[in-house]
Amino acid sequence: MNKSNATIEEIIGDPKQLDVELQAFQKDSIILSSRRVSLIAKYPKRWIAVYDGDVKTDARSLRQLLANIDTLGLPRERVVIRLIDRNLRRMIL
Amino acid sequence: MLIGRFGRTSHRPYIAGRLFLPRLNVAGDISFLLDTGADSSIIMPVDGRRLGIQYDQLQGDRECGGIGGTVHCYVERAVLVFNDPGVELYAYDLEIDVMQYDPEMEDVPSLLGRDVIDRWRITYDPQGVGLKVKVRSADRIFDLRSA
Repeated sequence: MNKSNATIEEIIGDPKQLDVELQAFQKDSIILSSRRVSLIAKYPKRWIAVYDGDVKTDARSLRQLLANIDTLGLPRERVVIRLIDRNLRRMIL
Repeated sequence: MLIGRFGRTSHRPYIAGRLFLPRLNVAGDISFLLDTGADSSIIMPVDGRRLGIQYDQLQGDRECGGIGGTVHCYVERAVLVFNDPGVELYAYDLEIDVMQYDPEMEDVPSLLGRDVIDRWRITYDPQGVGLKVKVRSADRIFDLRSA
């Protein structure tokens, strides 16, 4: 169903459910920082997917990582993904 | 109060929110890089692909300039939602840029620009209290404390 003209209330659904799910995503995002050293050691130059507090899969490319996520049946929309690279791209945006 | 985080290695400021693209029935959570230099928020390829955006269905045409030159962006109506856990949700109804797919940009995070940031008062203190946001205004506020 196309929701182009829907109201904000219609679009976001249950606010409390959204809050719970977003809190879980935020906790998974923090893992990227809190476990940075071990992630660099274990997954150098690899893409990782974090969900429900753990790294669920890793891959050499984003395309392969997304395929792995789908194979595992994880909800893409709530999975944290990141390229683990010691040499970060310097960004001036 | 919204709480963000600083990357341990990059020291970049991030804040998580949920993106809705209603015309495309796309929804998902994104860890946005706060970018006061960005005129508007932009969805980068890493999140676009993860959330299953069908790039051939995107509309709109806007040139987005950066240090690397100018790239083509699509423009979509979006709703962005941020949460003060268990307290309130803050929703923003806006037009968001979606950068055309470019494999060279896959590792660049989506940006939260001044279309949203200008409505916040931000405490930016990586060596102290961290990244905290007091919301000045939103298009819709949901009270999570009500039964």
